[in-house]
Amino acid sequence: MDLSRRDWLKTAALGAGALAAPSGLRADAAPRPHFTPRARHVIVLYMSGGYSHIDTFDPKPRLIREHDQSIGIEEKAAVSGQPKVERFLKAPLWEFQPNRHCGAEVSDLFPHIRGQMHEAALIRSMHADHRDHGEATLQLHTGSTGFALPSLGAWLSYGLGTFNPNLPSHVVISEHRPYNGPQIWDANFLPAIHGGVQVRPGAEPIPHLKARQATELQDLELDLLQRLNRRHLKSADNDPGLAGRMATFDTARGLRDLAPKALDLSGESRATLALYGSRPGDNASYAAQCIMARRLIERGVRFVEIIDAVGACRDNWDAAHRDVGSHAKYAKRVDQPIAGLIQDLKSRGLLDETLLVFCTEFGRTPWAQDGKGTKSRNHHPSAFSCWLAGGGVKGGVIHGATDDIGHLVAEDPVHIHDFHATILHLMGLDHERLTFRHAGSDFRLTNVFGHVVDEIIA
Amino acid sequence: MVIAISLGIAVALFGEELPAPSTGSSAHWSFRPVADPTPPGVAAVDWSRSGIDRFLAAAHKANNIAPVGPADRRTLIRRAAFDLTGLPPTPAEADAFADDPADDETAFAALIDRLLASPHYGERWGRHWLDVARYADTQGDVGDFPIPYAWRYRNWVIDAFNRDMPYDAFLKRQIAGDLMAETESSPEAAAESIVATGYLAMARRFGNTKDKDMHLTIEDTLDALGRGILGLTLRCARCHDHKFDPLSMADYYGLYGVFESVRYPWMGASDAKSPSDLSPGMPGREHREKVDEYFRLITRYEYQMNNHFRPWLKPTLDAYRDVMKRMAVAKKAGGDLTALEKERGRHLKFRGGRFRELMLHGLEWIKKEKRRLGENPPYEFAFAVSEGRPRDTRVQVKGDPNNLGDATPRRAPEALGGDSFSGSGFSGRLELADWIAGADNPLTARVMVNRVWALHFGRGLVSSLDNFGAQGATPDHPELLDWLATRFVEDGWSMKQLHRRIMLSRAYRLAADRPEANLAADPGNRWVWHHPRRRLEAEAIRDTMLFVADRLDTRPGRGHPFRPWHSRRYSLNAPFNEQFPTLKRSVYLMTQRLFRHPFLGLFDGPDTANATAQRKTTSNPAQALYLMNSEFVRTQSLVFADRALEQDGSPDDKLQWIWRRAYGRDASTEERAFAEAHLKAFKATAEKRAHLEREAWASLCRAVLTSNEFFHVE
Repeated sequence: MDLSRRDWLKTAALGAGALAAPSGLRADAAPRPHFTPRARHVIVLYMSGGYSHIDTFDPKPRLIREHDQSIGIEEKAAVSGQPKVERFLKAPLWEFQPNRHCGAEVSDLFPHIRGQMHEAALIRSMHADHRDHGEATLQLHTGSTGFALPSLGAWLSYGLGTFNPNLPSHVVISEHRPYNGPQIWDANFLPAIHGGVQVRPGAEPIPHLKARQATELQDLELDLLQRLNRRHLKSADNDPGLAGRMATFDTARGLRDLAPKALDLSGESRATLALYGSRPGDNASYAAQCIMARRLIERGVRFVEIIDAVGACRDNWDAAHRDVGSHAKYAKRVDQPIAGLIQDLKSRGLLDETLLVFCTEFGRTPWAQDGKGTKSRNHHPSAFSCWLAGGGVKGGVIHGATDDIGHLVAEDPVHIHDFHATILHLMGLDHERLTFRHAGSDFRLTNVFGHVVDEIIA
Repeated sequence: MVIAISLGIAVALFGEELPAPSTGSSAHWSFRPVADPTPPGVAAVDWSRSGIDRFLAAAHKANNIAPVGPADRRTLIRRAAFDLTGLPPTPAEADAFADDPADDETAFAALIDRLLASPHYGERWGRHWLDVARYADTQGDVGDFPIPYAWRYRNWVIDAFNRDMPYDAFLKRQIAGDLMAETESSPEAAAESIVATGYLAMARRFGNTKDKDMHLTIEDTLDALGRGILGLTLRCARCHDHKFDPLSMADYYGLYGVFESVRYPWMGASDAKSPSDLSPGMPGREHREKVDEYFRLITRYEYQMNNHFRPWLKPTLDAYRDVMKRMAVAKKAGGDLTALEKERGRHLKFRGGRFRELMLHGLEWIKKEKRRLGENPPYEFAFAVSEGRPRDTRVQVKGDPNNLGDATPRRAPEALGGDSFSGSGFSGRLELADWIAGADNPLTARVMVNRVWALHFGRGLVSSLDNFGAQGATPDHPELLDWLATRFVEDGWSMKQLHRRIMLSRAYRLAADRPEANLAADPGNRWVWHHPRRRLEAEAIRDTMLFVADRLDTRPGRGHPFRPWHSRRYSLNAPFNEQFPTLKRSVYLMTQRLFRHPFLGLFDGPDTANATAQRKTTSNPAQALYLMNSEFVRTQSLVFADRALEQDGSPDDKLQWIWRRAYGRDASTEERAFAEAHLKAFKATAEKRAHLEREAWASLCRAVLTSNEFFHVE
């Protein structure tokens, strides 16, 4: 099984990826999962910048009791070349309340999401390896803090193929350039077809999608192109590489016709729009992006990620040298749309087959960044919170715990590699067997690490 | 936490499933000395003339496979022109070759000589080397700082190919050119040798500091050197002994020490945004010292600019201001200043005096001073390495630079002789270069002839171009490989002679035909029974589109219009990202590490972050959309159409002109019918009547420029 599968993946890399076979053949050539998948699609809701776990999903009463009290000087300067800082605990800025069904406590930053926590498995013991945005964001997306490697979405596309050859298998909705830019959705050494296609909500959501001439004229031109190609193909003994390239023009034509419909929200009911907090005519808000994500998976897209950032890198969840109170702005933007997405997927029967991943690159320090009473919290990869919901996930559970101030993981640590292994597992892939040979090594998303978090799987 | 390991590259997995490494390390084929086998005798006259053909004919016979016939002359000139220059022949050149009355071999030999003499040869093969050297115009750190001097290394590589610099000398200069500069024949040659070490200086940078991740930059250096030049995955021995090859961690750190003894230049990092350790571009200690002092000053000012607002500094600045005030008052009153002077002196010494100028002159003065220095560099800098403090290093346990194990002398890997690089009082690069480029190194010549072979045939004699280890492929033609490697060294490591030898074989001139029986028996063309059809590389696609539309600027490129370093600051939040469009050949495009060039990235262009073994070829809908709808392709189609319409004669003549420029041949009756039908249908369908003729022909041209025949060479 193992060896044949590896061969199979190689074939798939050439067949489905490198030289897309004529569209009819492509679905047959799609790779198979290792075992029965619990979910068919993934929607990643990535909060860029690092939200504070202790202000959102991980309540710590001691921080309130001992607000402004010192726990000592840090062992190592947070930033090289700067003096060490004394750590004064800082109370969360928002109150925590339990979800009515499962009791999971979430702060008032996310009242709508709190209302849906019984659908989600909350992990309070996340940890990662790097304290800078660039490296940590890269690790969350590719498993690696240093070298750019293929992204999670690219691995899933490579491992599972697509349901709809007329749409990309891997879509990233990102209004702005995130940390590391397109590296975080790149295919890297995997066949390029698995790389994320960036959608920018607005006039031209996908690059070069719009014909620069009337569609009828472009179709005439494509007919001529394929005539020339067919003639050439005959003289070239039906070289399959040539046939594969011809098929990409058919797919491109399909994309040109189908993608705008997938991203067009004008057919959504007022009730649906209201559920997400959108309104008619809105095609750019975070709510609109969540509806687009649903429309894309309905049309067979395997992996959709929405990268949340209001502006370029600085206008996001980062609260280093910045008032943590700024979280309110970002939470308000995403809270209702995400809760709406969960409910909408559920009412359409799609929640069971769609894995929702709510995540960030690291947490925030339980102490104030610049000394007693200051407003910022610094980056904190040693502990943070993320949650999964939908396909195959046990709803209403809390996994892992941090110590009594939220500084270090105290129980059931879940490293980014474990998080990735679990996502692949829910999608029917064994993270140890999903490999690709490149530059003399067999690479995988989880390097030589990763354990599936069985406790949160239904 | 296992930070160190996860920072590194994936370790070879699947250990259990693969055969164990052979214990007799030197028994592995690529570690054995290169042999000089005699080509076998062959009965067929056609296949008996060159050594290459005699080896291949024997392989055909042994594997019972019949090679196809030779390609026709028009196919051949297109193949040779793309192979050697990355551009198609002009219609006149194709005609001249097709009509050359000389016999096939004489005519082809003359053609190859002409192509090798073209300056476009260096641009084409220089680009191949730049893939191996993971060339980029930026550093690859989170801010992707531009390297305004990188182009000089790029052009040095191109010139070296055009001058047919012997490959051994070419390698030595890239590894130790700065050390060789002292003995070069002229100041110009010395400067060039220094620039050549851009190969090392170009190693990828990581993160947001200059010093924290140097172990990764050195790993990148060793990876490029290992896979690119020696065909060894040295990097695998960073965290543990190599699982498959006779390479130990001691071997890895034996080489690592050489580069730990080297100073890498910097254009800046997120936390220290000014350059440092750039080379004065000429040999001599006095120049080095002058440059060091220059950068020491800039770094000092930069530090104060970066930290002047820190909360921990504020009390000192306030206290300094206060004492200055008190001194002014005391001075007026004629009082004693001694105690106050002492207090002032104490503040000036805060954190080792690193904020002295900030207190003495203020931030604006520092900014002005830094700018003045930036605008008046004492030398024309080179992005080149120089000697650091020569030292042996210690093994990093599990690849963790904070967990040091035993000291390891600088030396070659044991299984490859273990030559010492420690003895000279220098970094050991000169010794390393001599060892790598020595005629008895079993890997260097083999790896290079295999690369050249693969670039001509689409597949190497060893199919894993950058891995000659146990995990690499077994050679398909071991004797031919050694025979070629021996000839290469014998020919004085001449690249041009190697091209001639390979291209003048009968094997190179085979047609691209694909008989069923051969495909079934040997689908990968292991036995070289035909010439495989290949898609053009990204650069050749772009260059040829510009070339056929007569828009390509064929003059060599130089530097890029970067803003001077002292007027821009880059970081994770605001990384450098530009494109600098040009009509010059693609090898001269500015290429970044963090951002792919929109055209080159889409069409499988170079991986600027890693030594590329062999370009991959993918076809995907994003490429098709680009070809259908991008401004770039639209522009070339319009210009191509304009040129066609300017031609004298009937519409049919114009059509033939397009075909001859794009495909190097006349249009067939069937194709003419397709094209005429398209023009007619286009004009009948278009609602916009303005520029109808031009638009219709541009549409025709775009179909030609995006067609399979245009995109492939056979």
